[in-house]
Amino acid sequence: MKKSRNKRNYREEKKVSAFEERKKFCPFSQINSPVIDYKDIKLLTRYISEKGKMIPRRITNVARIKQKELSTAIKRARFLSLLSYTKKNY
Amino acid sequence: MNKFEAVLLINPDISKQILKKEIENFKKQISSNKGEITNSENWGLRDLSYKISNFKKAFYNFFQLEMEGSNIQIIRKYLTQNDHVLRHLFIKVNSHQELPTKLYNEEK
Repeated sequence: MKKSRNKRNYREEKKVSAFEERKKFCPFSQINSPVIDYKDIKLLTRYISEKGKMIPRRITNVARIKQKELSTAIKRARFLSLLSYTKKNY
Repeated sequence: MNKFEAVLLINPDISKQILKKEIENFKKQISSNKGEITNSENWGLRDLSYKISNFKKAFYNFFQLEMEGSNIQIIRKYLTQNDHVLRHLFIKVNSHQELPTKLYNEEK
């Protein structure tokens, strides 16, 4: 008896809670999604951590192919010194 | 013939006349190697996010080219031997973007 009650409570909590599982979608493979480009720094900085590292796609939900495009774009922007490899003040 | 994009970083300590000459020389190099510059954009003096040979700023120039890929090696050799050019980047693209670019738009 106890077990079934716990389960039910758990389900009800899940519906109400803020950490409810939402449907994940890639931000780059929608219809009106932006094009990945090494000149568009504003877009690229969203996918970079505070220290200037790339954020893994399991956190940002970017599709596999798009993540590859993103990583090349970030590396090109770093080479042109539009972004920094390590965000340290010199 | 393929489509390319090129970005040049040029020394910030140069006078305006030499800067113009450098860009003209680059255009001449491309035209002598059977290439064409369809569009170009001047991003101006920008802050670098890290030092490149002890410079904190650089002149950015952006070009859209059409030429054969095998000739780009000759231009690369010219640019690496040039002291005024800090860095250069060539990228092959399937189709050219519409100007102005987003980087240029944001500044305004």
